[in-house]
Amino acid sequence: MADLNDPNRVWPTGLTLAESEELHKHLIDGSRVFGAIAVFAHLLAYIYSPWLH
Amino acid sequence: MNQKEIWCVVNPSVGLPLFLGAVAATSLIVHGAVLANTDWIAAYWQGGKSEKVAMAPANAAEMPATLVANASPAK
Repeated sequence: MADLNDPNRVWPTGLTLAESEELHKHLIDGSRVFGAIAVFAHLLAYIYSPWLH
Repeated sequence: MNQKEIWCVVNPSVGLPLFLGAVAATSLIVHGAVLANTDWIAAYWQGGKSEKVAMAPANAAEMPATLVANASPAK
């Protein structure tokens, strides 16, 4: 069980800065993948639909 | 990465579902708005346009003959 009195833990959530940064890194990577898929989908929509023509 | 400490303040088991839920809700709203304000998504879902286009020229060729036939008895 994680040591709740660990001085590295930051409250109110109790994560350490490293844990928070690691989680945020994954969230940003996931958002980039989502963005890339969205760009591709918009490209297909532009090519194959009357959108913006 | 200037927000990397956010998860020390916002609980990930609350923040992550909220974030992903907001993205999903936004996507649904935008797709709904486009569906409601254009005809080409509904047409895409309806499909079958390529057969209709193939058929149309055939009908067009016959049209004048049938019109003439119908028109003459009316006089």
